[in-house]
Amino acid sequence: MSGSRTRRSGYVVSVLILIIAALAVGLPGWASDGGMSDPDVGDDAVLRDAARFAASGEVLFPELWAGSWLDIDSDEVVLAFATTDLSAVGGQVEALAEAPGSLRLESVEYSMRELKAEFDAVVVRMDQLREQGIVIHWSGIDVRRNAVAVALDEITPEAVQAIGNSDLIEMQESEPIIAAQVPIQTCASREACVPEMRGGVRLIGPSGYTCTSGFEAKKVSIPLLLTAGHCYRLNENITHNGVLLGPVRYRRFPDGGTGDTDAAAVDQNPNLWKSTNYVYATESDRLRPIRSIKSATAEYVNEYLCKAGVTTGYTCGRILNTGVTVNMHDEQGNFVATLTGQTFTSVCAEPGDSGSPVFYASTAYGLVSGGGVPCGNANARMSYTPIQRVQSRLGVTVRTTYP
Amino acid sequence: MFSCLLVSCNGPLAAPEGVQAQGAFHASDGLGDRHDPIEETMAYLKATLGPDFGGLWRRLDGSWVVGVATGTELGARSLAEAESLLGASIRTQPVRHSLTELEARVRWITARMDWLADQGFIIYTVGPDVVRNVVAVTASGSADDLDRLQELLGPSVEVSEGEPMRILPGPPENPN
Repeated sequence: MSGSRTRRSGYVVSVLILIIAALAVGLPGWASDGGMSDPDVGDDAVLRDAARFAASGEVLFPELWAGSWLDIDSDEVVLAFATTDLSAVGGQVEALAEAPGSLRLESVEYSMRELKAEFDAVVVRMDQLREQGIVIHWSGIDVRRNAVAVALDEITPEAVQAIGNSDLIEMQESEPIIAAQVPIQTCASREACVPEMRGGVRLIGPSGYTCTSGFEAKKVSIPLLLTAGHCYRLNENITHNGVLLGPVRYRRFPDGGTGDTDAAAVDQNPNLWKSTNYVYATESDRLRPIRSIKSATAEYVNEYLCKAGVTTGYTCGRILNTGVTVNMHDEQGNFVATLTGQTFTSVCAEPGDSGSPVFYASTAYGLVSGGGVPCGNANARMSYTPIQRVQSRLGVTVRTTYP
Repeated sequence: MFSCLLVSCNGPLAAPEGVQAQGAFHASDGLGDRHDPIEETMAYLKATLGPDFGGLWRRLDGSWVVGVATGTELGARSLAEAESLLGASIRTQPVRHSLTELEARVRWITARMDWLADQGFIIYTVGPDVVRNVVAVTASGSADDLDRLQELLGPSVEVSEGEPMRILPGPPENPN
């Protein structure tokens, strides 16, 4: 859901994760942002302008280019160049981008090339530093500070000496956040499951909207996390527990029209998250393995199944009808879309449960799409998109084995 | 009714193209040769009864029922084969409308959703109800509105008052 802008205090961390991913991991969507920092704003037009400006700046002045970001306070797209003479730079960038708008140029000391070179040097030395007892939790290019950020437990003279006293490096103290440094099997609640991702936990989009993760999936070897398509837009960055999962890579939802699928697949940064075939079913069953996929044509009336959502938790019921057409509305009662081929159940679900995994035992059935009557009522209703169709429409495969 | 059932024309396991494709899909999902007895039974009954198949469902007491369009019979041998696949006994129930007919009626109504909305009808869901052997439509409106909708959609449809279905994103939170 797109919505009003919000600020995120974990912004710098997200920026760094994003940049690390783009530079070190080389995931497709992130490598193409032209050194732009985390698009932490839900305004598509502003983002498009920012992306155009950023691409133009990098193409026109590769030696001077130092990155760009959105200044949320001023609504300006900021382009940074390693020069003291900005007069020639601005006009050319704006002309090429063909996107007149709020643009601000900043003069900085170091170019992106210099920052990248320094960052690469830090990455190369990470193993050596670890052997010296200096563990870097994360590192990345912070374009707003025009520096390479290096995060450690504690900044000691030994660490400063070992990492190097370069002007380009800014050290900071930080909690460990990378996957290898978080204990395996840590899953305190639906709000905090790291680093082993799974279905049934809270997802948050850039506007703050909450949905529930469905099932873990993959496309070839790329790890993905499924949820409902109506929850987020393509390319929106999704987080869990304040840590970036990645952008929405694939999405099917008939906005305002008619279609048969309500599903999306979110990139799951393999450096930060470990893929599983688990679902967080209940407090005492946080490791429900998914081992098979239900064929949509084998669903039958009165079949018993359950869902696990962040709002209403683990609730169960029976299939009432299959192949149902549902006219879906939003919370305000406005028509949103017509979904065909949905399975209609007596399971209850409420706002926040969209995308929840629908399953029975170790078999995946579908992703929660909509609900009718709140929990606590005998005639509660929930509809879902069958998982087999989700797979074929998104071109993904639900994980049925532990990687 | 169709006089030439697959059981007599093409042999009991000659499933139509769409049914055979399910097996291939499962295999490609890495599920290997795992067999789902319900899926196999469903496929067998669809193949055997063809367009006279009225659905397979379970009653709340746990017993299984297969709907068979009136005027058609599921032979004893075919029923035994289906029960063998399912691992449970199945009761046959004559139905007026086949599942194919119900599904076609759902598509017909779905295709006219905009027109129905223009007529002032607020429809929430449309789906085949195999147990009641009707197309179930839930809608909003006065008793007169629902009566008019019922009359418009015909006897194979059962209109009732329902609740709106809503997408379920949670309200915005601090993204932290």
